[in-house]
Amino acid sequence: MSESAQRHATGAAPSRRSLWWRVKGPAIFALVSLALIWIAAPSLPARWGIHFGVPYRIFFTLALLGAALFFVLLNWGPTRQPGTPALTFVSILAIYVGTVGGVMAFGLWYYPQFEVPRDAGAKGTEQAAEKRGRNVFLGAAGNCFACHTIETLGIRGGQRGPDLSDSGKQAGVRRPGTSADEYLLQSIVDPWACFTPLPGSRLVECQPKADPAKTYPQLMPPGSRERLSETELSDLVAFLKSLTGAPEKNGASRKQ
Amino acid sequence: MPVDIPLLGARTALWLVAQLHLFFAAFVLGAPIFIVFCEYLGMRTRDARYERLARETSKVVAIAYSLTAIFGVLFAFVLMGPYQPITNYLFKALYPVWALYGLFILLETLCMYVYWYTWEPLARTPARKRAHIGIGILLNVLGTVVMLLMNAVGGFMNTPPRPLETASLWAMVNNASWWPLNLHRFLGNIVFGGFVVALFAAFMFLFAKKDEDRAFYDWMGYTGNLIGVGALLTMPLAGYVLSKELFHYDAQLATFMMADKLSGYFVMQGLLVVLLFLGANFYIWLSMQRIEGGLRFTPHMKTVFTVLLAGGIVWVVPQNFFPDLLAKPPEGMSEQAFILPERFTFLGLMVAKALAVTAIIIMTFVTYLLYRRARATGSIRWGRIDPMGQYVLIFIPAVAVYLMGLMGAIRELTRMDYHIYGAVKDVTPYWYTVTLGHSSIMSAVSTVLFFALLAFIFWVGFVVSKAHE
Repeated sequence: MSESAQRHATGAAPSRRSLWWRVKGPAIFALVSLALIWIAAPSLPARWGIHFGVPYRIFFTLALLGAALFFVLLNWGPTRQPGTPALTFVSILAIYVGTVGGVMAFGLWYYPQFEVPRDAGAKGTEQAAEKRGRNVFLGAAGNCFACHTIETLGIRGGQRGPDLSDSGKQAGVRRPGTSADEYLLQSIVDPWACFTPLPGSRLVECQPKADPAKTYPQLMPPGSRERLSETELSDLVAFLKSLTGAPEKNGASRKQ
Repeated sequence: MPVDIPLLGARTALWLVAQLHLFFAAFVLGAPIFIVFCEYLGMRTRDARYERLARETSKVVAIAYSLTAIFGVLFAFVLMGPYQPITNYLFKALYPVWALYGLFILLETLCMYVYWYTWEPLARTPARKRAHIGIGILLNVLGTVVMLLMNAVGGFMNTPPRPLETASLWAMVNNASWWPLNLHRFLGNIVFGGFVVALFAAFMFLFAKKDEDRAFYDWMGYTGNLIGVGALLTMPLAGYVLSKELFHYDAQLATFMMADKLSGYFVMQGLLVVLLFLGANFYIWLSMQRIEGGLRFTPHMKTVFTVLLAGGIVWVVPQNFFPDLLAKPPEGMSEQAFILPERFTFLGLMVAKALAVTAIIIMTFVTYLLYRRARATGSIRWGRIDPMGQYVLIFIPAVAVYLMGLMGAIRELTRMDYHIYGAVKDVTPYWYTVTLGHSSIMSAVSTVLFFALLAFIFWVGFVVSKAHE
């Protein structure tokens, strides 16, 4: 019978020596795991194909440290109940809120999340309509930043849609015979009429059908005419037309 | 959008009241199944503890029933204000469903009053007791019909029939996700009911002053947890059925859910389910120690936990760390660092995940088999469990309630920017899909509020009244 089990059977309080015994095994496991993850595996030849990126190493570290802590808990032995009802209630609350808080923290940490716009601030040269359009882009009604970034203005939004840094320049050539204003408006209110080419596709004009290899997918939601007023739409178009900076080197050609 | 809710915003307000309504609804639908089953067992085995368990749980349900109704009304108020257009649409399209919903709630409420107030008068003879159990079964049937009706509305919003313009009322009700949702929620309610009963028992155990009470609440916690875990084992299968139907219905919707914006939610879901299984197994391990001679099984448990943890890591490891299909790595980092190495790609596929889940479920069976083996050779000393066991029974519902909130968010968010997928657009300022972080906060807030209200019920219904006695 293990030392922990004996304590369970007798209900005896653990000695200082037994404290070491209850953490020894899990601690050795954690140290060996960390050494494997951070030292041994990265030093193996790349051709073996087992080089995990840093995010995975962090993930495995957390998982294995969690496992080690769990084994410490298994070894812990009998616990004592708090002496008063108030302390008992506090202990219940601590377990419940601690559990929920821990899980919530994981959800917040898990990976980069873009719903909050990171805006570097307006340029001094923006016209009034463009400034209003910027607010539509960043505001809850338009919420364009949820999927679009404007690198040249430092607006780091979502990256499901194209970077709009040079949307003003591109709008004039996307559809021959259609002005930049008309194209931008149509791409907002009727986005499935024409699909924007991916940066690596070498295409210039927008395409009548979504193609995973050449265009952005059918993700841009229609319905902006119901959500936005005519003034808001024209302000948004003015803002997008004013964007003529160089686009970032887009990695959107990643396989879907 | 006609009206917004100040400070919170319409979506947050609706999220909170709807979630609290659903938590209480799940409890008042799941717990009566548990109660009638216990009453039946009490009659069959003549073990008075089953009768007491059924009665004490009924008292909690009776108070929770009022809170379900209160949050239901608040839910309706928020719907009728900021979300008036879609509320009108749903009422017009599914009016007979709403009328039946009102009727069955009335019948269920009447039946619940009859069930509660006839407990004593119908306990005197076996024939009367059987009649009382019959009323309990009727209560469950009525409650299940209420759930089926509302699942029809929820399912319709996710998977409306196509083409919708010419669809009959029955086609709208019997939509692609209706039966999978019914199955998933029915089992989920039993899990939820069992775990909340175990939470109540843990709460009462920790506040009990007499050994007799401690023995009873220890047994009650064990029974609640057993029923919760028993139903939990079937949940992954019910989840697969629902997901499969969604895939069949619309591949774009399913891709959005499993590979795009909501994929991180499923990593979180995996983590939460693993925590539930770890908690359930840990509790049984602690339970085994109150059986005479049960300690000899301890070495086996370490092997079981090793498999559980390994299975858990495989289940949770993501295929990539991108929050959606078109996201790019942060500056200075290669894209490859965020994707599993080619040799380990299989870890991100459903085959590996399904194997991991199967291993976890089998190991949980093994744990219970070991427990049964221990019980067969030694007597149980109820009330002599390590208090940590009660804290595990508090940990498990915390995770289960949070998981239920998060899964609800996934189901709602699969509609993307539609109220009714592919048919009616959400044109409110809150049309966009929120991040996992935002949903985590919302689930946490609603889980803690639910606990605060439950603690109030336990305190008012039992601790205060017992102190007075």
